Amino acid sequence: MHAMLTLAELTSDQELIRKLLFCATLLPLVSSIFTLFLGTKWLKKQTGQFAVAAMAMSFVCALYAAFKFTTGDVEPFTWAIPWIPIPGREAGYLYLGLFCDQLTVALMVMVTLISTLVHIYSIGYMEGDKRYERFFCYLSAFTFSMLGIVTANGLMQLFVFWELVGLTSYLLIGFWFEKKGPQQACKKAFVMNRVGDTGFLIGFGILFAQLGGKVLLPATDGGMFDAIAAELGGKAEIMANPPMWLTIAGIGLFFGAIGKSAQFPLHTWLPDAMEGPTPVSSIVHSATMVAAGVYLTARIFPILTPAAHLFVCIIGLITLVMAACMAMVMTDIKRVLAYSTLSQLGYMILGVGSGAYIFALFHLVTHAFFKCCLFQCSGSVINMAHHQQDMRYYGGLARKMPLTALAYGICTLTISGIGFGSWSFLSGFYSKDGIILGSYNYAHALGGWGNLFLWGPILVAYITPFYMARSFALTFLGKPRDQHLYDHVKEAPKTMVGPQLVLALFAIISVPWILPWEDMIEMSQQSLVANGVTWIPGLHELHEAHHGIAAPLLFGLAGLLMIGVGIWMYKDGFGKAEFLLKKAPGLKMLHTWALNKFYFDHLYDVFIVKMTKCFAGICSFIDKWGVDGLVNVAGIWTKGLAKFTGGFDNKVVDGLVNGAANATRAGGQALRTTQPGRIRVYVSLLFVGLIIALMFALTLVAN
Amino acid sequence: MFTTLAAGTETDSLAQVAPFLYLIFAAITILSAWMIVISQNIVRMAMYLLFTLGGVAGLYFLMSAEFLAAIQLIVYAGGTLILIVFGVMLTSKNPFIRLQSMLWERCVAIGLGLLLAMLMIIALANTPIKQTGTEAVAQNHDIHTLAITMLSKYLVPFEVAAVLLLVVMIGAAFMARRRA
Amino acid sequence: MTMLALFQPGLYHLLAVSIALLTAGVAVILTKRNAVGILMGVELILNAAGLNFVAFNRYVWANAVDGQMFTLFIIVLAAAEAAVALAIFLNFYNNFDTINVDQADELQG
Repeated sequence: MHAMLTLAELTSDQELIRKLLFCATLLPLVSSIFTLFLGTKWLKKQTGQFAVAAMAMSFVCALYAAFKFTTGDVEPFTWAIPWIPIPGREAGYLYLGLFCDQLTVALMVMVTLISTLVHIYSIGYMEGDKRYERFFCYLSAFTFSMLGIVTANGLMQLFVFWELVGLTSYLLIGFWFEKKGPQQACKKAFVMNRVGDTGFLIGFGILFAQLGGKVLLPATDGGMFDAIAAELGGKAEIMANPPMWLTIAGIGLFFGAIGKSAQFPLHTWLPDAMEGPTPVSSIVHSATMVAAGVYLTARIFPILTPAAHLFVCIIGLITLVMAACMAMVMTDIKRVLAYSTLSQLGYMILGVGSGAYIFALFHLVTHAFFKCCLFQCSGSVINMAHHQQDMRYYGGLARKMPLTALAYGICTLTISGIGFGSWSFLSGFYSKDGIILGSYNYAHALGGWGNLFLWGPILVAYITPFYMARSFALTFLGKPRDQHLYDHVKEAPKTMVGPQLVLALFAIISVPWILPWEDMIEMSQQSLVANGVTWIPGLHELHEAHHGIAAPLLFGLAGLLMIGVGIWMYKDGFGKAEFLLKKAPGLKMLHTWALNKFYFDHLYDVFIVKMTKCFAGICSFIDKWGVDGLVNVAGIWTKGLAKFTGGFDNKVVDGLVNGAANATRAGGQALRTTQPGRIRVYVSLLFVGLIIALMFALTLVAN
Repeated sequence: MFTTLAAGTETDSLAQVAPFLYLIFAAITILSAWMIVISQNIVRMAMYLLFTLGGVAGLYFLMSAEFLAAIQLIVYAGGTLILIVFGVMLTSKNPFIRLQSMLWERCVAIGLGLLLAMLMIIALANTPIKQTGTEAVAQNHDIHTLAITMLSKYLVPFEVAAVLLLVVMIGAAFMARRRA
Repeated sequence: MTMLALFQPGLYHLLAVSIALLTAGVAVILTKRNAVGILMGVELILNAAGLNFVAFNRYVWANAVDGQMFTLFIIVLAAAEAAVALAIFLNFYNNFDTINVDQADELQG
């Protein structure tokens, strides 16, 4: 049966939004192709401006679509065309199309805006690079892939763009492939992502098999969640009594997100990806790549079973705490930010897992702005400091680059979630608070050791301001520790400072000003009910209780306090910190562990690389003595046979051939005498022939 | 037969001399043709060829193919032969150079020629040819008919011949050009 | 005069002239080593053929002028052939500095 998908007719607004999103998605691709083919020949130094223009147009399209969507009360919709026929399956086709709801338009705006700013920033940062044009080609392709993920309407389509993100991130991280570091880093990122994608494919395969090919995202008649609900008798029923395959499928898909969003077992690629150019780091860590994993997890939230929720939460919690500890001890400014990203991603994953996925996505957007800004600031500093990334050589740079310091400072406050009571002027406070609220709910629902899910995020909420203040203080405050470096630093060019300030502005004015906080809690609650997750208690009541007692103490003041502590400790370099480490041996051990990234790279080296090598050695041994032996025996046999046939060939066959050749040559020699090459001889023969013919004719007539 | 060829009293005298003219033209033709064979001097050969062509033209004339006779003289004697003479002069440092042929070569040639002639005479003798009357010749063999025929029945060959001449002109000019 | 008047030249007489021309042409081609001479032989043979056409037209098929037409085309062809042949001879002469056809044996087997 080939059941075609029946889609609701699009209204004129929806049609407009569809076209706008289409343009917004394809413009970066067009720009990428243009810069690829015409960049080095025609555009040259204008490539950057061209790519920025394309991205800006894309942003305008996305913004207008979002405006239409929010002001026009447009229903979420799906638009699809048949893509791959799947014979023998209920769905009949895999569909290619576009899925649009609030999340899509919000992320479209966020991704295009950040990408535009990163493009602008790259004009300054990449200036003078010998592959300047190609960088914009890759960057646009990267953005296109991410937009593709955001607009995809089915898991298969999403997976295509998912892989494209992997590929383009590989190209971008390894952009400076002449150097050893980027080479290794891009390989690592690619391989780690492959590991995660295996899980994705397993999950996808299970869903595909179980749902008869109906793997579209929700809000569609053929969507997979409706299909699951129809098969298992209602959403509530699924959540109460989930089948095993659904749990495995959910966890499998989540594994893809683990790879892309660099969660706990596969997190090691993200800090190494720092080897790429800083604009790449800033976009990878904010709008694209890592956001893709969180986005996917949020999209598949309805099919996650309670067991899968728990799994997601555990992964998120481990990443959250571990990365925050590592961020505290790193001295490389970009690494601090990288581990900070990991930690924040842990927040988001924890948020999704604990049911507060609206807040997780909210945090994704706010985090994208401030983390992108932080990376751009660090990039400016690094660029000005002659690619010195170690904070031990910085200090007092605020006097030299005040605007960068201002942007960095604002974002430090934002990521710390500074707030007063239940109010703040910074977006980070709301998003993080929402996630902690969700995890509190979850911990409350689990009880017992489940309280870890509450205390983990709260602990990290203390650590985050500390390490951010540390990096700020080490870089911008105090006395310069490297006078030579300090003398050469000056404010970054306009194309770099501009985007930083814009991003810092967005870090302040973010969604709560557009969408009220209370509404978001309401929405979150509704979404849980709609997905049948009834075992997590109402957020409403808890929110009241939570904010009434804990929040001001826990975050608002805590953030300020920890920032103060951080600045006090590190304002004058590492002196106080080292003193503290000497006094407390336990801390010293933790410090060493964290500095060595909790030995994960070593662990992987020993358990995976070494074991693989060992296994390869065994295989090689078997190959050498077992397989090669067989091959050699066969070889000897073949050799003998070949000798025999060779003799036969030489004597008999060649004899025949040579004989034929000799006969032909003799014949040729004989015949060539008849071809003297003289015209008169030929003419004589011609007439002789004529005479003979005449005689013959006459004889015929005579008889 | 030749008497009826030219009808009317004015042609009587021509009819009277027609056998003479035939004998004279035939003799010129055959003799000068064989003189070409015998002669060793290329310029003389060209001269004899001129006579041969003129004789053939006379024979055409006697057969009341006046147009052909004129063309034979104009094109052959006036054009082709001059071409040949030019060729002789261009391809020889000394126009009187002798490229002597061997005696046995000449014997073979003459033998072959005689054999061929003999065979053809035998063939001719054995072939019954139904001759028609000569009345039609007076009406049909004038330039008018020739022209009509050429531009109706033989139009395509005529055009092809025109193209051929063009091709030959270009080709010959190309081949014979002075190389840089 | 009477004898001569009785002698009426007819088809066979003309064919005899034609045969003489043909054999002369063959002999010329076979004996001459000068390329231009060979060309002359060819002209003789072509003339023999033309004469044949005209004679048969005159005595056998007098209702039409097809034979004369063919002779006309033969003349045209002869002119064309002479032009091309001479161009070739000129080339040959330029390359080999001779006009002796026996030396043109590059294609010897």
